[in-house]
Amino acid sequence: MIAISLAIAVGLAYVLVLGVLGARCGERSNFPFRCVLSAGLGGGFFSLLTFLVILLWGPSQVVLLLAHVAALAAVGALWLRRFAGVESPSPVEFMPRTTREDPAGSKILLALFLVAAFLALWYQITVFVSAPHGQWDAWSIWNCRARFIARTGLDLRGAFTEFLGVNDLDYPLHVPLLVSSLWVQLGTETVLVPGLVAIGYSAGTMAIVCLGLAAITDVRRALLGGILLVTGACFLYWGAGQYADVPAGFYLAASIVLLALDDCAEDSSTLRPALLAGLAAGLSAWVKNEGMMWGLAIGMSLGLGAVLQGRNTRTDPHTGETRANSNDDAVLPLPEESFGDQREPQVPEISREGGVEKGSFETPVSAPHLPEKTHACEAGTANRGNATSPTVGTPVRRPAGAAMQQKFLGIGVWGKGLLSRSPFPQKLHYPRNRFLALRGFALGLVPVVVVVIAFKRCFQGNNYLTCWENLSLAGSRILDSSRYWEIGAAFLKEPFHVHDWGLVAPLMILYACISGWDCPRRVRHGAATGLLSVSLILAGYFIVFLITPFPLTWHLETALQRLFVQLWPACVFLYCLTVRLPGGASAPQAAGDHALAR
Amino acid sequence: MTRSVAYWTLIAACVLSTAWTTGSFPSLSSAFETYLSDADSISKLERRFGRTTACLPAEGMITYVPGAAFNHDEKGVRFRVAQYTLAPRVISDDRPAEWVICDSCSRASVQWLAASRIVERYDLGSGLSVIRRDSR
Repeated sequence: MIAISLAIAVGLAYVLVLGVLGARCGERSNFPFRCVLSAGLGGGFFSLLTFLVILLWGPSQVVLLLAHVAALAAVGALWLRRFAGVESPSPVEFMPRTTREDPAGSKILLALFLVAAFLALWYQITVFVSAPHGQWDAWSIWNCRARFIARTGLDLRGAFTEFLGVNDLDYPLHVPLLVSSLWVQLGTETVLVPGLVAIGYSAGTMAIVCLGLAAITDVRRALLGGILLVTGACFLYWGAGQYADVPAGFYLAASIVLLALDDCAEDSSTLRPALLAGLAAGLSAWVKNEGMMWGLAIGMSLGLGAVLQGRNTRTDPHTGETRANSNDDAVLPLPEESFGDQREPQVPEISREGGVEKGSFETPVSAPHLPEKTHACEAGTANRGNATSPTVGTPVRRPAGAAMQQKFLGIGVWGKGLLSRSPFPQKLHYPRNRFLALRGFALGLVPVVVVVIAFKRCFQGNNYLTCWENLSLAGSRILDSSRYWEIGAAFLKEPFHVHDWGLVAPLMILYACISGWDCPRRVRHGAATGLLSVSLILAGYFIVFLITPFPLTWHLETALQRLFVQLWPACVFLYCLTVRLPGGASAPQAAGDHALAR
Repeated sequence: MTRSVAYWTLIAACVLSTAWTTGSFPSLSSAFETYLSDADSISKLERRFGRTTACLPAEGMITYVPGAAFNHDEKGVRFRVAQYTLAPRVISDDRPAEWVICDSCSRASVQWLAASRIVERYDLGSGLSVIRRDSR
């Protein structure tokens, strides 16, 4: 029954992912991305539901199965609601493919990627079989707790007695519950289960980074991301060592990838990638305590983005709609002439002043005679159809035939407007509202965090960091300047430990210095949110080390590397998303070409 | 051109770095030998403490007393492996319980144990013994 429940949980996650991304990820090539995301989220859902069932009904496998079926039914209803049109799906297809690639170069890159992936798998298997119980934290915390749970027939009480001579009672239960459930299902406590879970999460992290980059940008960035990720040797080592930092890193990376995808979404639906990002961030808190801070950091980043966007928008006096002041979110308006007078539309002249393009698309355009209903689809189409203008970082010339195309699109809007006969004025402009992303993120995050808090209320011993004794001494530690220097130096030195990280950090910095940056315009908000989130998380780690009750040097030596491992996949994703690659077209250029070709 | 050279250099260096990392680790065949013979340090200790399960009750608190010869780190590892092996029994190193595991130590070397009345005693060899004391 446990295996069926786990399968249902993964199916549930797939239905949810399909419901949210389906309209956008219609391409068959994105099927692997959905599968990897669903497997990760499904594992999290399974352990969450298992915990809730044990908490409320005790360790009953029948109730566990029924709970999973009920959850699947609920998510299935959501899916049907999505596709039955109750909540309008977005037809936006936001995953362009770059085709301007050197085929020989691509083959060489793919071959090198496969070599790196094979070496990484080889290394992980070697690490696992040389220490099958895992490294210190794995056997002494995660697998030990899994044994407690499995040997008591999925009863949690034994694992949280105050007499247990360890100080990690508040560690979340994702990994122990997943492992112990599989042990109970198999009827044996084989070390292969935690080993396979660990290597599976490592491979899943690599997949989510690569497939996320492939979905948002192009295959070259995806392959580069995969190669960079496995070059960080300690990511592979701690992954195969069965530390929970890699599963936590998987959820953080998934969250950052989904926020970047959300940046591409142009609808105001609640079921948007930010919802899945919130779920992933919440599940990271169910894997490790650091996840609570991650959810907060990402939420703060989104909130800051929302506030900044609010300052950069203004309300149209005619239509009452909100518009972006900058052209960052702007959608090229459909000229009024193309609807009414059927004249040749005005071509926006774009000039660059101080690094910021300005063009006629900044001018508010209202077409009060056109209905509301048409705007979602057609404004988005217009945007892509004219992606040569607002989405490219350099001044461009309008291609021949584009005016005719725009006129055609305008007629399309006009025609649909006549057919629908809506009394509402058309909104041609869609400023991307970060508040919607924040709302979606919070909707995904909060339910999971509520369960995590329930766990901590029910079972937790004192957390060493937040207990009153520590907080009362934190003041004196904060005032100690030598701690700042020590922590700062450790932070700066850590990525350059060649034995642990290989040469990846200096190589990445050197390449970025030579090549520069080139972030696709359509995901700049997502990339900025990700970068800000990672920065806030690092700041949070800094504060944790500042007030830690443990000897600082020892704590830095034992924890800092694993904290960097947690952030590593997200950092690689953001690096590959923003770094400039030689030759070829950047994603927005490709997006424009893709749209024009269609 | 410069960017392209830098790009391919980055890729090649990363793959070489991964290969170097893989090569610097013990070979897969020797690791498999360790795995198949349970010769890693945790498996060895697990087998050692696994012998006590026949004497101990299925649950409850057990006191673990390490030998004085062990250094601080080794005591910590052995205590944790005892907990890992004997779960769901709760192992404590500072609370005198009815059942006591003596790991390379004599009863006389522990003051509270020396003062206790012994009900049962199992000598499991290799310096490992299980004592049931009168806890009243």
